[in-house]
Amino acid sequence: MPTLHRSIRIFGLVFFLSTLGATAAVALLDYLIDPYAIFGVRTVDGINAIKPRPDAMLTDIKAIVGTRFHPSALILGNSRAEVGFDPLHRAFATRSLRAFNAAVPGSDMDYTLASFRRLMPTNEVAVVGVDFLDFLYSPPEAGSSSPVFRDSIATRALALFSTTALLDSLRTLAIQRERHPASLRSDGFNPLLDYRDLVANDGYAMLFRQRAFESARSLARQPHELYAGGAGTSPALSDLRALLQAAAANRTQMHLVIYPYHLLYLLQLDDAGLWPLFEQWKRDLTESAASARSQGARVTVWDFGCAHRLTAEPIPDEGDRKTEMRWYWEAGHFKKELGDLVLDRAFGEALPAEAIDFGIDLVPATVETRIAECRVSLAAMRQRFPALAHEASRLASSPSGAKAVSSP
Amino acid sequence: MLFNSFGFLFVFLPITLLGFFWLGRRSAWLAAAFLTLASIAFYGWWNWHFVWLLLASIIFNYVMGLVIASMTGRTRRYSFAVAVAADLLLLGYYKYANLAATSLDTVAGTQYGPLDIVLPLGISFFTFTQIAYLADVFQHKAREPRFVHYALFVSYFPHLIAGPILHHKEMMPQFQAPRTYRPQPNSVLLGAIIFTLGLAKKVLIADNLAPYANAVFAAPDHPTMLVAWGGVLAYAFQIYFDFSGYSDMAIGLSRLFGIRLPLNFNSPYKSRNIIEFWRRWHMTLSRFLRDYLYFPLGGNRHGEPRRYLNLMITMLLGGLWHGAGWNFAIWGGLHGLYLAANHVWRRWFGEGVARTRIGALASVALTFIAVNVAWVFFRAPSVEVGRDVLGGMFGEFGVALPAAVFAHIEPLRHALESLGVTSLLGGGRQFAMTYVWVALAGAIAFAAPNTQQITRRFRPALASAGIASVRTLRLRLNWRWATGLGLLACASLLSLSRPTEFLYFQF
Repeated sequence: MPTLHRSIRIFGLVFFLSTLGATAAVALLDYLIDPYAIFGVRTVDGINAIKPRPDAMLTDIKAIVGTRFHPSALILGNSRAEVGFDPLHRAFATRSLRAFNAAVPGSDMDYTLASFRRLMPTNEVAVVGVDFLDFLYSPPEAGSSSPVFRDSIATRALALFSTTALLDSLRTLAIQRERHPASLRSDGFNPLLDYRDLVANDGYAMLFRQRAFESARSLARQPHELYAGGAGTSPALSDLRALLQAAAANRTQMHLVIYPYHLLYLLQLDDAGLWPLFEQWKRDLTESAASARSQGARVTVWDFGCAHRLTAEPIPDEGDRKTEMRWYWEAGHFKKELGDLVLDRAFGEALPAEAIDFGIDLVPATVETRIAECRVSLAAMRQRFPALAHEASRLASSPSGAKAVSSP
Repeated sequence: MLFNSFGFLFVFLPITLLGFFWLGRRSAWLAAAFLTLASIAFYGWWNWHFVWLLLASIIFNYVMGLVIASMTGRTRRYSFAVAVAADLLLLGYYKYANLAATSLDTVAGTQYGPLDIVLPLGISFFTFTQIAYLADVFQHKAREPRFVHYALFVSYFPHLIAGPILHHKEMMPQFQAPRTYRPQPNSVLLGAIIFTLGLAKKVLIADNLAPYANAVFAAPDHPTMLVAWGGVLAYAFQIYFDFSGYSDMAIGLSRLFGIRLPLNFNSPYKSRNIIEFWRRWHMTLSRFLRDYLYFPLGGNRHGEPRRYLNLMITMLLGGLWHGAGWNFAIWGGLHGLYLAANHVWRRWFGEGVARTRIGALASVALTFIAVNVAWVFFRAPSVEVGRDVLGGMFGEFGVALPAAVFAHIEPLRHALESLGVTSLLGGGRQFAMTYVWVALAGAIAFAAPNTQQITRRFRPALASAGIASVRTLRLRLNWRWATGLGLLACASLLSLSRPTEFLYFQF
């Protein structure tokens, strides 16, 4: 019996120490590799200089990294802003602005407001991408609200003691020599390099089709309502107004940007019966901005959500893996090159001839004209690109049935 | 409070364990009372408002147990009937009133539903435990005069929320034994090992399968065959690793206190027929249904047709025990049919087929497929969704592979297309990861020994001696096992960042 007890004790001790030792080793590795750049550990080329794009905790990671970055210019919005608006754009540099891209995929106005408030103190300029779908109103589900940010101590603890962090540390080591890693820059920008491999393997047509299919399913589920109970407001609009107030209080120059959706997506919006609400939403944004300006806010609404020769960029044929697209990854996400033109327009930089009429600032005096023009241009583009129009219409009429297709 | 949470592991459990053994050195009664209070606090952590319900149920059944034991003849029978009826009414109110109201609304056009009733955690488990106790008292098989022991028997936190469903006669002797109140190093170590294995099953396997099952059942939308099977297989393994992981954790936690719980799982997917499946799956529920429903209905004592009817009734009620909904009734009904068919087959053909190697493999495969078909309705949020997924499994919406997968098997493209396999937009990574996780979980479920087999020589649970031994992966007290388990514990702890509920908490 004493032998059994001794062997049990030794076994228990080794069991306990190996649990403790392995956990400590993981924490040390996570700290040294610092995959999320939240500990400020020195980076070493070939080891941890390139950081992977996190699949989890991105909101919390960007909050911590953004705070340490001390940005004087802030980019906010969802994935379109994260991959499209580059903090290294010349407009920031020439104004000696230190820009940070705090945009997070899937985020809404709630996050945008919270993130602005958190990173606001040193903020002079903010570029805020606004997405129409975030403003469609559906009654909140019970228990659906959750804090936007996790406690920063908890985030740091998870960055040391979690399977996710361990896998991301290993991923950091693995991606250093990759040609197109799925990475996140230290200024928060997502260069979406991994899409280059996707395009090389599948071609743009596949990406466009897949995104269009997902958009069709999403649009089919959207509520056809902008306001809560016809009250003329909604949580998203309230958040927007609070954001404008916060910007005014901080004397921040704010650019609200309606994203430059590809023509295919605009046609899908129209075919889903959402175009009138899209127009009304533009009026609401214009009115909210005008109201904020009258109270001292420095805010401009930029409308790029209109059919235009840039947004109607032709999609390469099915199976074509060579032709490069200049402006878009797929209908939902524009490339940094188009984002650069958007920022050029917003900051009054010189634009190339092809973009001279790209985007307009919405003000109450011109909003109706702009809305009418967009309606006309959409109809014209529908005629000019019948294949796209047919695809959008087919997806709208059968958003789920169109998922399985014959191979090309 | 969840077993797989930091609060439980690093606050509740150490305090309860140390308090129990510290008091146990002074008084067994004090230690039992402390463990009872700790168990009630454990329950109240979820929602204090329902503590009164648990306490009221314990006090009522304890008193009724005393009353029934002191009565004779017709009064005894009436007392028993009243007590069971009250238990069933309580369960019925919380669990089935909403279904009754909404069904009435549908049929009669009334507007009673939906009712705003929150299902108290574990009510099905603590109600069944106590009905079984009352039945045993009624049949002169049990009697418990010590309130603290009775309250501990019902509220004992390792089993309170989701079982195993305990039997009075297997727990009371352990509560009475003085050695229970002294720490046993081998019990503590074995408990920690079993808990680690259970935790790993839950957080490393079940939780990683969940997104792939959820994706199909949340919005099935006419799934194609491989997508539907992927989701259903993911769920089949998720629920097994989730629930058996929970049961292992319960058994392990209880062993820390020196108390053995009954086995609840014994590699059910290795079963060669559905009768065997129910002897290996949720074993304590099967035992309860057999002893307190199937046998009282007559079992097989009144001929074959009556036996099948009794099986069907038992399984239908077993299905409805899991939840108030037609999908649970269909799940139970399917298992009732399977069991009846299995008995008919046995009667006509015996078990010769399953004795050959190929026959055994085919039997396991057929049983597994049948179980999966039933899981569809168990998991689906509605009968319509279940019907959609089932249609997908049997090819109603075609067979398709994600385009990205097609691109990687270019040489097979023509052959697959000639068979009618089409290309699916998107979901390539999801599709691939679903089958990677299903393959991994399947390999463990079918080829690896279970927790009880691994720890068999240390008698991990009640009746574990009956578990078949294995040649590989038998626990040995050497440094390799200690280190391996330490690494497994570390991996599990690192996965606790987002604790998820156990599937059986909803029942």
